[in-house]
Amino acid sequence: MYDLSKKSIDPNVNELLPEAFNLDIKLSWDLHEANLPKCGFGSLGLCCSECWQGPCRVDPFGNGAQAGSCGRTGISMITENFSKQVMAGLIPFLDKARNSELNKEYINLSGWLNAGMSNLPERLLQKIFEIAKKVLRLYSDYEEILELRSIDIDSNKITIVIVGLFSSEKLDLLKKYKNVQVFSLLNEFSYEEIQPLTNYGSQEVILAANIPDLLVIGPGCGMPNLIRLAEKYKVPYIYSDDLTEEIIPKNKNSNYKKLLDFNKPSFKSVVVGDLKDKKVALIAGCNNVRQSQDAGILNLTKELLSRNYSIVTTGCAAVALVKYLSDYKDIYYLGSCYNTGKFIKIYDELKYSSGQVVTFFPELSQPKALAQAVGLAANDIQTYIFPMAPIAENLAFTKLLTSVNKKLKISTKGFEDKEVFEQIL
Amino acid sequence: MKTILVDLNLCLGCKTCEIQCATKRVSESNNLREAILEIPRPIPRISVQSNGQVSVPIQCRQCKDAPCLDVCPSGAIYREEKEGKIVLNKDRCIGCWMCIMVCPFGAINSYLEIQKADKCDQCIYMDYPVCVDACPTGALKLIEADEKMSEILVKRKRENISEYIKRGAKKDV
Repeated sequence: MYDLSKKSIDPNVNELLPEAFNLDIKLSWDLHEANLPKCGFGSLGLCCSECWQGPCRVDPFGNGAQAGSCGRTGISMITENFSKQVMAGLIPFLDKARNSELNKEYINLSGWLNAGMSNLPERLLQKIFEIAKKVLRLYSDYEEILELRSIDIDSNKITIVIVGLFSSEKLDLLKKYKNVQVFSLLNEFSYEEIQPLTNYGSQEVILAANIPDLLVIGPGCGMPNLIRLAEKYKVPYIYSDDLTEEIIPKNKNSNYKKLLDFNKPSFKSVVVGDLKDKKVALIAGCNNVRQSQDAGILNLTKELLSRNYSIVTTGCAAVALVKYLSDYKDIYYLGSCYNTGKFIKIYDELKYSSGQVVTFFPELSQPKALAQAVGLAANDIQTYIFPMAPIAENLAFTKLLTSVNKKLKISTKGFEDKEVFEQIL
Repeated sequence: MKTILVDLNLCLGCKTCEIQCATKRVSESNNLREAILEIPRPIPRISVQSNGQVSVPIQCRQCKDAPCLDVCPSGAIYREEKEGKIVLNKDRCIGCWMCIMVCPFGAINSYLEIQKADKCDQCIYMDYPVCVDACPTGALKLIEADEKMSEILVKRKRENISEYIKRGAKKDV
């Protein structure tokens, strides 16, 4: 098979891979490999399953069908597919927009998206950028910035790992117990007392090492594969709505395996004054199984630091940096990925200073991160997305995207590629 | 000799084989993003056709007694001796379309812009044909023709016998 790269640079992942292979456990890298080659129509965004006359597709080589059964053309299909991803990614951020004019605007557009807005691809994209701009601004207040602290897993305590969002009432329920420690699987939390265990690409490792005594699954970026793995490794799991006191395990899982410790001092929180007149880059986003996990994030950060950039980081990308860097000079933390919007305020304060302000999503995969990227670009911040993004295969679409918003750039190459630096920095 | 076996029950008509063939074997750039912008547009050497119920990927069957080979006036089509595949050398093709006229499977493509024909060589010198590698359901398989052939024939005879008996019995009743 083609299009495969080294799976990860995370030593914990690399230690686990042969073990999982021997136990015949399929991890996301195996699942990805089984899916190759990815569908060419899907890669170019040229398929539409909007209605039950479909699914339809457009032949990119121009020999076969050039429109769907209803006449939707290729550019309409891809614009619609992209827009739906962004709209889906914005949903978690609508919490702060409840009952507001913005919420109505969102509902209106999603209604029109299904009812033929894709006939006007350019207009649709403009609307998407408008909404993303406003939604991300709701999250731009950076008064309270959390810390990314070192993680200490106490092997004597019962470990509860939360995947996705979680209500503060349920959290209070867990806090009552002295012998219980609570972690978030990924960096998508806003409670300071709950620290992330790892980032998107290596979430399966936590289960394979038998760290959780209970897995609490809520809406978020947990892979559906986690449930299958939990069954394999006999880790009890529960949906966050169903969590009650009776379910909290009384005994520690005896198979607990200690993971390799990375350097884990805490990041500094952002002080805007420190960033004045400097070149500032935001590193955000997830991991993407198409690329070596963490390699893009790490390479880019090192390259930027060597070019005297100050780094601000959020979400799973921040966790990647904690893993490998030992020197945190010029690196600032902004919080979980829900806090990426805070960078807008920072940009607002820095835009008249002499430095350059730029955003990178070196390993973007989830719609939530795509929505952030679109929101930042809509707020006038130069934004680069760097996976081999499926939609970037379609040059007609990337052209349309540039005509609507000049600040969002989607690359077809990963950050393993040195050429990419030369082009943009 | 190895040949491509198509399992009609497994073909979903997704055309992944077409896209991979056009990109990896026909295009200059070897990359989907650029291949779709090339002129002439790459035409896949495999083509998925459907009668509305069953879809069938059709590619050159590498006939033993190949009509295209017999009819080619310029010697552009020849049989590669080592692998036994029928290959078209574009440099010698004069665009007379005789091969297209005689191919019973419609497996040869024409590039009108450059007056050249093009055909599948079953990815000669490669371990696996690209279409076989790409098929997500395993509907395309590379098999040793001589070994598998007798197995398939026996299976088909058996299936047909029971079908004949079923039909005959119904008539009698």
